[in-house]
Amino acid sequence: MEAGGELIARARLTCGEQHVITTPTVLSTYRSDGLRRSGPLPLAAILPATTSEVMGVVAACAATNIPYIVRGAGTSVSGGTLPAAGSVVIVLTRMRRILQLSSTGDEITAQAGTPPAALARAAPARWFAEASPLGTLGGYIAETRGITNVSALDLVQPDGALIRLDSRHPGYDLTGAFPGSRGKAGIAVAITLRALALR
Amino acid sequence: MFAVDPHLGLGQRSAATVGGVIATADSGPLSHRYGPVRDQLAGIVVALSDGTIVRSGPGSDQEHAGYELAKLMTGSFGTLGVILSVDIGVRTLHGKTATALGSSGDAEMVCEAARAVGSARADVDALDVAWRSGRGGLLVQVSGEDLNARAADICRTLQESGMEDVAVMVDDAELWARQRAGQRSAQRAVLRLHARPGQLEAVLRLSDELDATVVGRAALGVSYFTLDVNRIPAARAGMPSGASAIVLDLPAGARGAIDPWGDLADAELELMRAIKQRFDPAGICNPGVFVGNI
Repeated sequence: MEAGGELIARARLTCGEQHVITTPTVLSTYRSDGLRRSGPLPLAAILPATTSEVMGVVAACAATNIPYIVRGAGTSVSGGTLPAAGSVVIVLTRMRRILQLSSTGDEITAQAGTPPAALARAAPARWFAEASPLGTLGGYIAETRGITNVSALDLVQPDGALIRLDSRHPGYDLTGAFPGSRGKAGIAVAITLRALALR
Repeated sequence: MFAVDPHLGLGQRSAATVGGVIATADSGPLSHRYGPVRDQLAGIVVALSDGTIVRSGPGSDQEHAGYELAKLMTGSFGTLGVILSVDIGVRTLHGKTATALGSSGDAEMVCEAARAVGSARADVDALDVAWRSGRGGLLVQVSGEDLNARAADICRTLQESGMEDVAVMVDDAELWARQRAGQRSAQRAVLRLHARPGQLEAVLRLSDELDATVVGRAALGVSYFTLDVNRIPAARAGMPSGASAIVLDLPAGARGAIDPWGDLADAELELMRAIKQRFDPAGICNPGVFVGNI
């Protein structure tokens, strides 16, 4: 079986045939970042659309011992989206739904692949300390330290298990410590932001 | 200035240390403008239980990925290591202050007024609520230039929201000292509730049911209940959806009888135990003081 064959087969079962890309000419789209640098061609680009699909793909990566790189819109300038040799790229751009807006409009939950500008269109609050960032919500959170208004996270851990972290819960401030973790603390598939007070 | 203003001990303003404030994630009214203590940290140096010194932020020799160390250490109660030093962002002190006040017996009106002030004003240092026995009010502090005009403008917002007894207090230090003092008690229990800001009305109504005195951050969802210790289970049972409550103070006789942290989902606790194990495999850093007996 080709390198990663078992993983690719499982990913196709999980996400659908058309959402697992292995054709080199198409795949080369997913080897670059926002600075147009290139990494090695990945074994595949896998585009899940739901949390359970991400969990299935990550579990398959763990079971086959194949590393994965998470990618949003590919605008990272830190090398965060560049594939490693022998890896697959998990692309979250199909996960772009606003999942929930609190009745008082002070919290919004969206999938990781949602463009940040979509949050402002969904609710007239200040969700970002800066002008609406580029890329995806998940990429922005994963790459940016110092974001203070992450209220909750649905996090797929490296074994594929899902965990819900909430800033209101007692214990270590994992939602506060997550921004800037660059994929090392898991994949945030759904992110809840608290509207920023005017400052 | 170091833009956190925790209540520094029970009536002893010199009782706290910077490391202690960070380890307990204490904060006060200024967190409205500047954020909690977590947000003031640019870097940290920590001694782990095996003697390793770990650094993050300015001066660290490599860029770390994963959970940010300074944030992780904030509020960890010393269970991951010993905070040796911190890099803190300092802010300009704006000088004189003034506080606009308004009161009401209508919890919904207080919340609406808080929302009106919070959504309209970027120049507010503190936006607090105080509430007891079905009545209370808002305290809105400003500092810097044009104090009187800005405070008067906030007063108009409070009046338009229906608040009563609207006034400006220029000599407001004692007022805010009382507000901060409401976050601690030597005689009764103090519970810190963390809810969504939009749940403030439910929080105030809950306090009435519990005969609790409340101070808190009206726009941040953080409220401090001073109440009888035997009301703590009812407080936890009656919290708004998604909220949590941590016990900060208990009368001497009640200590040990109540879990100060409350419940946490098994998966979350398991992850926290794994983090504890990674930082402190010997389990010697403040063992047993944290959530889940970590």
